[in-house]
Amino acid sequence: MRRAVILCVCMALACALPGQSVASAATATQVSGPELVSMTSGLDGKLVTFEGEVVSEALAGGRGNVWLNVLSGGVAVGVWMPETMADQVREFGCWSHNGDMVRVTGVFNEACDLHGGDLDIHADSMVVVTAGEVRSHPVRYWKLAPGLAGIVLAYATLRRAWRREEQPS
Amino acid sequence: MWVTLDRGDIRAILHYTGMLVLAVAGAMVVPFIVAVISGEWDPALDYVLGAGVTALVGALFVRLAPRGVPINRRDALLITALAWLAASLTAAVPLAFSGHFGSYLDATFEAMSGFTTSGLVLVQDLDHLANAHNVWRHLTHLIGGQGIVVAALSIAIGMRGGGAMSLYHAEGRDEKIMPNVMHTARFIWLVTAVYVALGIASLTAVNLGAGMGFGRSVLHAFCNTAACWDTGGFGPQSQNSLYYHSPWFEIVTVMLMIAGTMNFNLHAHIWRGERRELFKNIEARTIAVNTLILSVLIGLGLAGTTLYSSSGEIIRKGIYHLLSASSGTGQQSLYAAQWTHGYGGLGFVVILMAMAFGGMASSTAGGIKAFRIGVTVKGLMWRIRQAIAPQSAMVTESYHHFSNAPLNSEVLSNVLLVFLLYIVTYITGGIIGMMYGYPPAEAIFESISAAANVGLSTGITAPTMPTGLKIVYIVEMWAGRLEFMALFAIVASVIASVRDRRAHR
Repeated sequence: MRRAVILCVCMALACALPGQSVASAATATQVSGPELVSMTSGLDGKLVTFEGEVVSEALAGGRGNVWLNVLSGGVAVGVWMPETMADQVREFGCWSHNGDMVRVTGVFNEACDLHGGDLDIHADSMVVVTAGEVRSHPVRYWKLAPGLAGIVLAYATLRRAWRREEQPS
Repeated sequence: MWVTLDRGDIRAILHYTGMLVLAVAGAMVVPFIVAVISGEWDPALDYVLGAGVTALVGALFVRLAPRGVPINRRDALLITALAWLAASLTAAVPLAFSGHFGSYLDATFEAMSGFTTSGLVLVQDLDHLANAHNVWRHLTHLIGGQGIVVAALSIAIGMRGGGAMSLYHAEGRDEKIMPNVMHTARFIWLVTAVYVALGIASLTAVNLGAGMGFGRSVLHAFCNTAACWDTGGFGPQSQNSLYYHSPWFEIVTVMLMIAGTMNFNLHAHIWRGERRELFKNIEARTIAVNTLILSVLIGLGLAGTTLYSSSGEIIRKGIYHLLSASSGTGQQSLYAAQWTHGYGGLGFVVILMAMAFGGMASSTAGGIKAFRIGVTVKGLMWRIRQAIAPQSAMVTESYHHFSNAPLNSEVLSNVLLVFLLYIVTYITGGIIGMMYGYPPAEAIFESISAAANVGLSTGITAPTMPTGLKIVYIVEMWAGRLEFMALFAIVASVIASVRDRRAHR
């Protein structure tokens, strides 16, 4: 009898824990960066899900947590998460790379009491949707010719002007 | 009588403007080197092209008159005003080719905002901007903060004597720190070098501690130091100060902002060990009283909000932005919409006042300036004392600004004239913003931010804003930085020339 009760409790716990996050994700509101920072979303303290590109390395967030800045719809928002959660991010966005695209679910704070009033998200979960990649920047060599020509012409103009000044009138 | 410019005057003015433009071309070597080190080959070519165009424009202007051609006070005003415009137009060339600006006008806006240390931005997708372009944006703060003319003088553009002093004054500086203007310019750069070195070292340590790589730590430290010491407000990332999520970052940047808003002459006194000046000087006292009063008000304002009512939030969102606004820096850890939604009416008005008042004269800060506020208040007290004194009494007033000076009607009228010009500019820009359909509070906020060279934004300043408003803000930033006189000299000269030409027909 005791074994059966323990088994039932264990099974109930096993179902409830992942179920809770599934339930959370299901009730989270899908939003974009501009909606989050509009201050009219009415989502303060609510569970939200948003997708965006990671544009920062993991920055120290204290107590085993880190910050990732995630760019969505042209607006970057700070996401606070456990260090282990951020480990899955391989690339952050910069001139040379597009960062990993991630889907974050967490509690949105218009002014976080824990972080001095910062607008942030405390992540419950994060998944990498698309891995980052190298950005292509073709070199436009045509700029070299007018640039160098300008420098040479400027030098020649100055040299001629100064020579003219040095000549006795 | 309006004196019109003859051909010789115009050639001399363009000659010196060309010299200053050549200095801008020379400065483009820095981002070029950064591009090469970072392996950013296309941005490197932006600077080859930019330097070529800028150097050619500069050289063509320079050849119009012989070296050392004498200039008078009026010429100096015109050279300074034109130099700031020409510098912005040429510095915009590499930015325009970066692919991060909607148009050449947007790039010019950014360059003018950089040189005038305003910090309003029109750059798009800043988080993917090349290191070279970020360094160039922040270098414009460094050059403009110290003054383009001071920058050129300190590397000896071939000008000595009265002309150099006239140019120095035309840039909105009054203080004669050293006996010679060239030495003054070099002292300003020495102070800058020390603070920039300290700032870069401190912020690099903060960034390394936060987990950034060494290269990025140094790059971000340079950018933020230039932005804060020069009270500029640009940032290398779109979130500005919020990107770092670090109280340490905010502490270091606030210290740089306070140092940047101090009069260079006050720096000189402190360096010489004359620390008493800090407590006697009318500007230092005004700034201290202003900051104290506004801090209390912003504390009360935020305490009444639902979002920022804890003491930590009042310090990090209230005092940080108050100092950012009053120093004319514009570093921001709030999103644009938060100024009007959540910050509260009183907090919003306090930030408006702090921006409008500005920092100290002869510093990198903008706005009306603490000296003028202090003298105006003293002047008011003086007039009240005169009004209630017996008719036979002789009521005098004085102020201490590096030395004791009597307060008289001439000083007061000069101060009030510039005070009034700032107020008129703030309101005019605000009205134009309203005419474009923006809400009054936001339009006034943005106008003050532009004219006082602050850079805080409620979101009006964006690539999508009307072209006319972009031009209005460019003019406001330009006029505010030069404290109006240089710009009025241009307008007056153009009107006088047109009138003269009509009379000769």
